[in-house]
Amino acid sequence: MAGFCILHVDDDENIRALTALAFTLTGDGEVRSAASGVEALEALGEGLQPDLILLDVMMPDMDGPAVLAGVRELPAHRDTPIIFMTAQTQDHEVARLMALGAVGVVIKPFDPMTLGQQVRALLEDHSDDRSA
Amino acid sequence: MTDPLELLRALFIERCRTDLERLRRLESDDPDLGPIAHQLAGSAGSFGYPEVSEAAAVVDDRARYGPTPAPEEVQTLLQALERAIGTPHHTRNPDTPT
Repeated sequence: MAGFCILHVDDDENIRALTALAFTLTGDGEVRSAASGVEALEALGEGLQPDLILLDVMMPDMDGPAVLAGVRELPAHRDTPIIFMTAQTQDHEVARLMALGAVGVVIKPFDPMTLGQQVRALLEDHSDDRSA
Repeated sequence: MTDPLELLRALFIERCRTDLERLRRLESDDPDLGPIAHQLAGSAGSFGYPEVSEAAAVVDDRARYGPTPAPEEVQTLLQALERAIGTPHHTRNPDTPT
C-alpha cells in the first residue's frame, strides 16, 4: 500500500507533531491532525476522507471511544479503520478497545521510526481477517 | 541542516520543564496529578526518555485506580524529569504537603 492519508486525533500537541513528522520522514503517509474529538468529527463532517484514523483514548471532554461512536454515525465513515493509541497496556484495556470495533491498538509511548510500519501491519492483519 | 526530531525533542523538553514546575507544586492527591502523569507516560518514551514514561505510568496508574500515588513515586517521576531536562536535582517544594 502506498502512503496513507491519516487523521490523527490527540490532545497532546507534542505527540501530534511527532506523529506527523514520523509519517513524513518514513514516507508512510500524510497526517492531518486534530486536537480533540470535536475537531476530528468536524473535519470528517466537512468531507475529509482519511484512509484511517489514529485515535488517542484518554482525552478531555470527549474520549476516544466516544469519538469512535461519533465517527460510526457518519455514513461515509462507517467502515473507516480506526486504530486506538493508548498508554494503558493492560490486556483487558486492549481487549475493551478492540471490542469497540478498532482494527488495532498502538501502545504509547511508540517508536516514531517504526510507527508507520506498525500501523501498516495492523491494517494488513485487518484486511486479511476481512477477506478470510 | 537541523534534525527535525531534535527540534521536536527540544520542544518536548520545554514542556517537561513546565510539567516539572507544576508537579512540584501539587500534592499527591491533587486531581491534576493524574492527567499530567498520563500525558508524560504516553509521550516521553517516544522522545527518547523511557524512564520518564515508566515513572509517570506508575503515578498515572495510582491516580486512576488508587490508592493515591505515594510521595516516593511522585519523587521518582520528578527525578526522572530532572534527569531528562538535565537540571540539578531538586526536591519537591518543602511547603507542599505530601
